[in-house]
Amino acid sequence: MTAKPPGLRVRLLVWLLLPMSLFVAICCGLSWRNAASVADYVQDHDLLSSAEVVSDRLIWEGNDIAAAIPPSALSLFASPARDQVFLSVTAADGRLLAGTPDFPLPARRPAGAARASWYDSSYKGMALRVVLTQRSMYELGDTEVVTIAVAKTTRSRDAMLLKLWWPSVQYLLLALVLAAVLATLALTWELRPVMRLSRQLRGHDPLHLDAELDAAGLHRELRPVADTLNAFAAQLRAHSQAQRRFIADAAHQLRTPLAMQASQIEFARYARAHRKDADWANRRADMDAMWHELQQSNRRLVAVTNKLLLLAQAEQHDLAQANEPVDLRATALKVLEQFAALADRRAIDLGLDAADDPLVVPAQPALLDALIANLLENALRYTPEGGRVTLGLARPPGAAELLVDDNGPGIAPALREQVFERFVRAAPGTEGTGLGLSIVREAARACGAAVTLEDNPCDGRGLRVRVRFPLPDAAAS
Amino acid sequence: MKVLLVEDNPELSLWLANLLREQGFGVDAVPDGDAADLLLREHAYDVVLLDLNLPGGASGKHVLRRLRERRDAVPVLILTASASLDQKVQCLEIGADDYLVKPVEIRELVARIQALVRRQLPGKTNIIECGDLHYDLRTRQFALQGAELALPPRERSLLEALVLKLGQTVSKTALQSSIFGLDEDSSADAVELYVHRLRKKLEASQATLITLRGVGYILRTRDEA
Repeated sequence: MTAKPPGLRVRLLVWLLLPMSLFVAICCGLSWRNAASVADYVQDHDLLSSAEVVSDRLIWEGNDIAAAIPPSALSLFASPARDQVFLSVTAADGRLLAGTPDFPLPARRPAGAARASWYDSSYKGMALRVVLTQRSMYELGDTEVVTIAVAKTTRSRDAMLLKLWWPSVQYLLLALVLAAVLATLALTWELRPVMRLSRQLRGHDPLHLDAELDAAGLHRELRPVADTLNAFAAQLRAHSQAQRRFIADAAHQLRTPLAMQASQIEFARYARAHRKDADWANRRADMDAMWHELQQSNRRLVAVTNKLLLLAQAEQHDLAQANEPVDLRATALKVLEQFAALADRRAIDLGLDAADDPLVVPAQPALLDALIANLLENALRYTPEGGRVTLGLARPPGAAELLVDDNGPGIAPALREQVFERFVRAAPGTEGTGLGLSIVREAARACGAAVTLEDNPCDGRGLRVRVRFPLPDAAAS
Repeated sequence: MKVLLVEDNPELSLWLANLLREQGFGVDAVPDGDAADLLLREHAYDVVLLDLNLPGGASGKHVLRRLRERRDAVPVLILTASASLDQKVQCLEIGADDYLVKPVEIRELVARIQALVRRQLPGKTNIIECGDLHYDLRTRQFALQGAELALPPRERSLLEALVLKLGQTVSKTALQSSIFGLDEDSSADAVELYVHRLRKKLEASQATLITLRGVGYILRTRDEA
């Protein structure tokens, strides 16, 4: 198992604190530099003052220059940091006039123009800051350039630097800690809805479809996520409910003829075992009746099964399975021929009302067949003997229409939506699976067509089913 | 059974048409290719007898080629004086179903016409059955429950047109042209009259003649309850 990536809150915090720390570090660096330049300035100024005190004390003694430096002058340099001070006064020829003999003087002395110059050096392992000044001494036409160098260890400067720098570092660090605390609090607060969403989802059994995410407390950006998930769950719920109902209904529909068959077979076996040979004529008549009924219930079973399969096929129509151009007239005629004998037996006047030209619609041929067949089957079933069923084709602007008119009892407007539901039948007494109109609706949907039920306008009674196939305008012209 | 005879020689045409009519065929005869083309566009025939050398614009081959271009699969028997092998091969290649060199024996011609019609039927048998109604392609007679069903010529032509398209819708105009020649006065009402008479004769039969309003008629077996 791979390591879990850190949570959103931690990541956001890291991304927030990382740049802030960098910023604090840069600020610390800059304030160090500021403090250092202040400390350096103060130190250099002190050194120069000392050098000037020393320089003022130089006097001619005979032919030579003497540096009379009182201890008080040196005590000037004393500091709480207990810095050590070194002194060197040299003549132009390098002769040491006063001070420490091995004072670290630069190899090349600066030209006389500069009044003073400073440099860093070291003496006996101690870091030193040195100031170098020169003074010309005049005596009876004799001129001597004397170099005065004063050095001091950097302890007090370093102490001052720290004293200057440390408070700003403290403020910055404090600000950083404060920012981290506030950011953590704010992120925790702000991410609460996301965490809640995550908890809701995690705590949910994926096999149950009763998920209902609370979108009210969510951020605007997250609300569509919850809404989509809710809509998705609702749709799944509706589908699964429909499926459950369908399976239950289908089981019921299949069980009835199966139970009937079972009892018919049982009866046949009983009759065979208990009737005497003398009853042959009776037995034979019973058997014939039984076979006939067995065949009837078998037919019903086959019809229901076929319709269930057809419905499943129409429902699961693959969108990738594109519609193809199909001649509606030819298909209608083919299906009419299939139903001609049934209509003839029931003395129903079956007809086609259409122009002779082909009427091409986008459809899936097998589903279009099923659609027309189920409409005709319904019309023929509910139309009384001697009635009239007409399959019409019309071509209103922008569409092609298939109309199936019958002069049966019709369907009351209040029931017209219900009858599309599976196993719902407008006339419960009649034979039928209650699947026909469901198949019609699903097949129409798969072909991109719409089904509506209306009153039959021609015969004064009965039903008109209108299947409307939208056609692009280009095809209409 | 409806035959279109395309023959430019009037005497031969008349003689052949009469012989075929005597054999019970309905015959329409035209003397040139353009007229044949026109008729073939409008009417359904069971067989076309086509002469190759025709006067005017369209030769027999032209007529045949146009017919096949329209995806019309009506059987075509070439009737010609030319017996050259190239000619025969060419005609068969562009869609002729059979080839007969003049002079023709009427028995052979009838047998070949029947063979062509039989080839169109499922099962390619000589007997077409619709329940207990049987039709023999060779004798062109109907039998009902084993006994010969004697029918007047027009009723027989009508039933023949329906039995050759068993189970399919045959339009009223197609039936009209199957019972009347081109030169006869005909009416749609007559079709209804003959259908009515035939229905009476088939009342006891398993075969039934169904009307599909607005489309035509279908001959098929009765639906079992």
